[in-house]
Amino acid sequence: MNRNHLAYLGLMTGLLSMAAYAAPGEYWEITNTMEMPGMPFAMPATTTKVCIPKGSESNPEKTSGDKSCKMTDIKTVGNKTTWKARCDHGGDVMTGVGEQTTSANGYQGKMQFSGKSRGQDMNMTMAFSGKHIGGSCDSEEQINKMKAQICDTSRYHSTADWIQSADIILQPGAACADQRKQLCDLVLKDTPRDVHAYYALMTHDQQMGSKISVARECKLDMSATTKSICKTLNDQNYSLLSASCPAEAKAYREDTRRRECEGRSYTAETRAADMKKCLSGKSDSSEDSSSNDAPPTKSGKPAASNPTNDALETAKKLRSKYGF
Amino acid sequence: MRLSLFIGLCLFANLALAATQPDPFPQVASAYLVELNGESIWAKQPERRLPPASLTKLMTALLVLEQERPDDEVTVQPASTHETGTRINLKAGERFRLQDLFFAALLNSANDACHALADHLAGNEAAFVAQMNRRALALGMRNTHFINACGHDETGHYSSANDLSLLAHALLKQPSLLDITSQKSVQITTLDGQHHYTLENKNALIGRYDGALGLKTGYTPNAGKCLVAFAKRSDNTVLLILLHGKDRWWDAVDILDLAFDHARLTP
Repeated sequence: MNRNHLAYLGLMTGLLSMAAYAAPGEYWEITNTMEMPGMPFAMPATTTKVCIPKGSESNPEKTSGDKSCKMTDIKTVGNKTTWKARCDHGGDVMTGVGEQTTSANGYQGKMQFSGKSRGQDMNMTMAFSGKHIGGSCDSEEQINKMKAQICDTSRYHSTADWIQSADIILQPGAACADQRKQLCDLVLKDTPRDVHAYYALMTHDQQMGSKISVARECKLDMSATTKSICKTLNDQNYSLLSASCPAEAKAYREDTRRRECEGRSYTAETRAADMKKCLSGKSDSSEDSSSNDAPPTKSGKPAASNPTNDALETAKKLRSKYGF
Repeated sequence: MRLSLFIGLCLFANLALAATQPDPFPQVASAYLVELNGESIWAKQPERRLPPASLTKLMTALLVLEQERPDDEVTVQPASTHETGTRINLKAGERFRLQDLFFAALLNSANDACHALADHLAGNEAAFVAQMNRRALALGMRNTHFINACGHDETGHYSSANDLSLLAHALLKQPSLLDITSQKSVQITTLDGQHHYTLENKNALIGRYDGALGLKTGYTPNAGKCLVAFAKRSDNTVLLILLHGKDRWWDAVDILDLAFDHARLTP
């Protein structure tokens, strides 16, 4: 999810910025393919019709450009252009090199990047090609089309969906900045009571290592929100809330253990299962510095460890503890 | 004047630090500390001086490991046989490999084995305890003082959860430690081959809790149930220190699980 989302955002941002460069120009059909080692599956190639200013097809800043990338050492020899790039996506810096070959009806090239993304080493190769279609185009129209596509909220079915896409709303110069109030209203309303929204928020703000904090941007009182959502912890949402609600999770575990173990009888067949359910550890046998526990086995022969006895002993202690 | 201001600032910083550590489990122990990947995430009174019971043997263990003399031949002196509490009933004159007595002291918490180690390494227990206190000072354990080598309740014998964390981290740097503390049971034999002892690890998490690797249990009437637990899952490690715990095994399992859960939210 993380990398896919990142790749999607990167691609869309790139396409949008490409259109943003456009003055009156011509239509091109651009195909992009991205490869990242470690991706669970290959990213499909994406083909998009974009507007590129006339005569700019050999300029990497305009064909493979990304507003967050700075191109240097741009050199053109014959129909081949090479350059170096440094991209800064919210503090995640990647550096790389690119090359592009221009022909009569198009261009093709690739960029290779390496660097860190969310604290992890990442290598990425992006291949791109452009095919001249022709026909005059208007950059404003292109931008609006792209923006509409990126900012289409009909794909959001819940507040959690909104939060997962918060970066394209909240980051500086975001394409969908005008949706900030809508997002924040939902966050403020739902995260204190909607477990999935709260979990999406925590995941976004903490685990994803995003530079954009939804809670901070929306002025959400995290302490009060966590306190509120933790009151809802139950067997359905335990796995989503246990990481944020240790006190409630502990109380829930104790309560569950009490309910599952109290009054339960056991048989030879179920004893092991009971133990596992009731005791992740074992009942306490207080040992130590001045207790009078019996000493361990001492004999003339090596004594074998006896798991059956362990189980019996633990079960006996459990029985005495709960009176069954 | 400047000195007092500095001390005041230090005290304030300590108080502020203690105040900012969340305490989600106020009932589990008189003092506790939970570290995820070396960072404290939850704590209660981590600086409070409390009797550490057999957690004391962690310092004994550190000094033993730092001596790097596992194959020493140790002869049990009469003083060791007078130890009380948990013991393996060593006899005066019995000879063991040092490492075998170390297993007995660390896994089984045997006080006679612990005392024999102290006698062997320093000549007598008092001299060994002096070494323990010097090492504690060197580690920065400001709220620790030992009166005996094995953890008996005595006035002036105390430690704190934070100090035990410092000690645990020093021990964890010893490459062989976890190989030892993660053993469920071990057999040792006197050098003459006449007597065999089967030592069960008193740490109930070992072999039962996924990822549990150590480290030490402790109990005395004054100290209550104590535990230093260390567990590793994937790339995450959790260190739990409980002093005067209430329901130590179940609480330890719960807290370790929750700490590993907490790791999901840590970048």
